[in-house]
Amino acid sequence: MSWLEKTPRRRPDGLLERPMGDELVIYDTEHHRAHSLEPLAREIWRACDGRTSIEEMVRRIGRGHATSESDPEADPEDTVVRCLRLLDDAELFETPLRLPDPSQVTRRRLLRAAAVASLVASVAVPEPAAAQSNLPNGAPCTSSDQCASGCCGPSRKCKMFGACI
Amino acid sequence: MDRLPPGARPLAPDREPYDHVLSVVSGDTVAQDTVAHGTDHRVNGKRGKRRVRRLGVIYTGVGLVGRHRRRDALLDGVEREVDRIVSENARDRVFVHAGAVVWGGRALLVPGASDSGKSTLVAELVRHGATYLSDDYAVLDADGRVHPYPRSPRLRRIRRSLEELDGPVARPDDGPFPVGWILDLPLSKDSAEDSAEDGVESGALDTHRLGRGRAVLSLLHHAIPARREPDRSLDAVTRAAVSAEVFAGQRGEAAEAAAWIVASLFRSRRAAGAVA
Repeated sequence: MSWLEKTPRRRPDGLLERPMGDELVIYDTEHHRAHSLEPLAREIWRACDGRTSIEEMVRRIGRGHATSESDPEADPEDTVVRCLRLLDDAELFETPLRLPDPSQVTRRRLLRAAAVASLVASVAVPEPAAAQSNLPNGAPCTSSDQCASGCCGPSRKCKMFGACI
Repeated sequence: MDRLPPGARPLAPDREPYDHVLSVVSGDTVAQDTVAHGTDHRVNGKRGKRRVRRLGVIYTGVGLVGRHRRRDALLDGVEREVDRIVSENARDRVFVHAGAVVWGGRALLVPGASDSGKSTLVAELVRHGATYLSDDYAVLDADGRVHPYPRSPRLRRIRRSLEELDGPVARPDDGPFPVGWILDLPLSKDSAEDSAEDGVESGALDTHRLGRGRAVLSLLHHAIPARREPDRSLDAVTRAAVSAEVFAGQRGEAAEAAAWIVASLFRSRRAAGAVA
């Protein structure tokens, strides 16, 4: 089966979704990561229903979608594949897609890649203790996790260099 | 009592069970018998008394969470630990690490970690006429509105600065305030280094508008209960961001950043017809 015939399917469990206007925010309760999908990525994500092929997605995106309006030189196939790779890297699919690397690295393609990369943004969501921490240097600490520098010294103070506990 | 969170009240001493027990032992200078511990310590070659300065210590349950030499540092540590417990256990609020001020009835949030410089920025914003909500936590309700959490600012110089200004500080019963602006500044050292590597001029505030989805990510990253209660946290932060203007940029010097923010707010309010 050609990779264009693959039918990506969203993970059925462990994903919380909230629309934000044209964007979509996804919280992955399994990996504790949050993702923000720009409108185009959201549309591609919506098509990942396990029935729609990548080829069909490319056709839909190519038919008068924003990519061609805002960027006449945009290649719908390239856009869809790069976006799917981002979603795949974020472990949002039921089974990994393992799409081929985009070939023909040209300046235009690199610029396109940068534009597509901004379609999906991700952050890790830390444990409460880590979210609380980030103490400045010199602040009392009991473990290195608490310090912004990542180092709680033997004197139980956050510091930048040297031995850590 | 002024070190306790808004709404704190004494309970009957025999009320049990307690959810958390915080113990504080103040560190005083005491005279200690040099043979009190069975060891023949000598001071200036003689047995006798010596002055010993005991550290103040803070325990949560049986875990040591802080040791401090100075009384004010000990109280800061107690306040920080109380805030930690409250922020991790609040059932009807979502605590987000963020500086928060109010401007024209709308809140401005600056999400960031404890040492990220948001306290300095908040103090500068207050100097420019904003009302202080908090320099450490934005407290969101289920509708994403911000409630004041007026604590003494983390940094003593900020505290002094606010005292000098006699700056407007929201009372606990003020608000809640809808979020008008979210400023997503990469305030960490790593980001600053990244900026330097990217050739971004130091000290400049180079901002651009962002989608609200990115603001939600920033708020979630700094939301204390996000990992344990993702559903509730996601609801609160998405509602907070839904009508906010979102800016991102490189960190600049705080005063410059504050001036830029204030000017931008005036511009946007003027555009909305709120300011003549």
